[in-house]
Amino acid sequence: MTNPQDAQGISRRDFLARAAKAGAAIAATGVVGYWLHDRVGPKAQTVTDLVSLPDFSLPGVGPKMSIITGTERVKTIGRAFAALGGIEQFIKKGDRVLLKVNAAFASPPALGATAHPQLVAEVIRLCYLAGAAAVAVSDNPINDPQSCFRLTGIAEAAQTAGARLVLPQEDYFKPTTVRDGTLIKNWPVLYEPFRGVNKLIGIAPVKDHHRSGASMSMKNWYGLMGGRRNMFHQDIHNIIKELAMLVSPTLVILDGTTTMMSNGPTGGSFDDLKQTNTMIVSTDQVAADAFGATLLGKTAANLPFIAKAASAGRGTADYGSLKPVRDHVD
Amino acid sequence: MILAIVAAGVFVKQFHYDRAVFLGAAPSGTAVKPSALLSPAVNAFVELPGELTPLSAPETFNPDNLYDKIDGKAELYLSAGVLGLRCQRFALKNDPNTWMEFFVYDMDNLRQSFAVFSMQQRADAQLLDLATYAYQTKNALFFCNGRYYIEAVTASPAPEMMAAMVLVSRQFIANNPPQQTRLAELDLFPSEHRVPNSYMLQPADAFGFDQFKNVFSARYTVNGAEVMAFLTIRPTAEDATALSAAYQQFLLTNGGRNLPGTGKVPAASLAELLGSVELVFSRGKVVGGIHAAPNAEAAEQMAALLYKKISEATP
Repeated sequence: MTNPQDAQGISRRDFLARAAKAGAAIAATGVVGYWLHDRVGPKAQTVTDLVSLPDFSLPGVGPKMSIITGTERVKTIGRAFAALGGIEQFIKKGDRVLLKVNAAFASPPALGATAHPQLVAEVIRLCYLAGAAAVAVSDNPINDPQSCFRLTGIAEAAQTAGARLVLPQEDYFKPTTVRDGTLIKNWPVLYEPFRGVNKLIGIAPVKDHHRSGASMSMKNWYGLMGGRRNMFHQDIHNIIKELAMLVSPTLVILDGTTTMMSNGPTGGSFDDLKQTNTMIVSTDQVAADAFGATLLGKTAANLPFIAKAASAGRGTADYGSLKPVRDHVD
Repeated sequence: MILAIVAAGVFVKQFHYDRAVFLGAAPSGTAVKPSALLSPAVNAFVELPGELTPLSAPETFNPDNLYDKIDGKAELYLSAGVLGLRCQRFALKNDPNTWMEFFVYDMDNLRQSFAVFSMQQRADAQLLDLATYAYQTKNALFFCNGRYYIEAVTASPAPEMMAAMVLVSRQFIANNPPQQTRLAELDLFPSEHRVPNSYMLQPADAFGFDQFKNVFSARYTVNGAEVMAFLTIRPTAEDATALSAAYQQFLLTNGGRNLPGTGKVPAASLAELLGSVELVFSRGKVVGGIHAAPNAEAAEQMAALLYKKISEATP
């Protein structure tokens, strides 16, 4: 159907008037756009904004490892340090220590999905005994942090033992990039708990993991990541390798007292757990995980992230080459 | 006018970018005392018996953020087609330290809820009369209720808590009557020699073969040897024949070696791979077979039973 007005056409005067209005509208839009345009743009993460985690490994100490069997964590961790010459070899008077625990889930300690509170409390006690000036405990859990730290028993254990509990908050994260990495680029990492710290200890349980095959010392650093970190599950072995490249701890404690053999990393049933009664302390996180694999009935070769981390120079998959000190405590 | 609307939209939207992509996720608080961490009591998302009270608010997750609750295990649910998860913690009224968490996964249909149920089945579980597919361990209940897969987990399995978990579960079933309670495919497995609680449904990539989708399996003990029988149903008999041939070819391509059969199972193909024996056949629309048998004799013996049962059920 034709509009009668269109059928009659328009006059030259109308045409010029309409053209002028259209031109004015376009010009006005341009002016508004120019006015709204942010010439600076969102602040880019420049090289100077990026942080990198300090190297907490002890120069001259070299790779060391102890493997202690026994059912009681308080006893096995004490013996594990003693086997390496005492915790004083690693923690000195006045040190400020950060314990990166696995508090990923709001799950009770009996389900074995998180670092055991008894172990956390004992390590805090030993650090203070060695003369540490301060001990802090932190993680960026998968679930709600407050629930996680409370229900795992870690909050109470940390504070009863005199450590500061540092729960993540938004401004605690700073962007970091792993040198020679391909995944961790300009990515937020839980940085604030590291301020002023000069020693870092990782504490993780030995667990099956649906995606990576195992969650142990190196996977524990995943809890330092912020942002939409679950995207890294698509390349799980490489992200674990890069986490090992990101973090150079003073030592790691791998708790295989109870191992989650199946349905990890959350588990849920006591039937998923096995008493493997082993505590590992090592300055070499790759070696610790290589031994931890055996508690899961696997070998290092079954877990590609171990070989990848070793190839990246983060440690050795041949844990036997460290000549680990072995002992048993009743 | 349109330009103005677009400009206004962009202007408003820029204030709502997702900071979590650029910064950490936004948990709050620091240096919190344990006593300050208690969650407020709220309504339950399921009907509770008198002895239970909510310990936390209900949580809801979708396929995009399921990782935020169960981390790496989310992959198992995502591959099975999960639509969402609701969960909440409940405590005994007379003992708040004794608590459990109730997880309801919406898997869209019974087939998919059975898949995640079966892939996590615990070996020493006790069957439970809650539902057709249900079991109990020392501290937890696991069952399918139609499209829903449910877990009730406690770390304090006192009798009162375990009984309360059963009551919550029964009430949930009563309030959400399932449209389907049985999977007909499982009736195609013979019952003799079958290992209890050994049914499994793999929705994709069964045995590493990307064409094997919705493969049901059950474990059997035959003359002291453990073997796995499997089956999957195709739209047509021609499809089944083609899939059977493709699987045999997959085995041979990946280092398998053809083995001669004795003819106990019509048109069965056998292959030796990495020291174990694989067998596959088709019968009508059904592709059946044996996985990881220790020898050809055990494979054929079990396959014959499976073939007979399938033939009886699908004449």
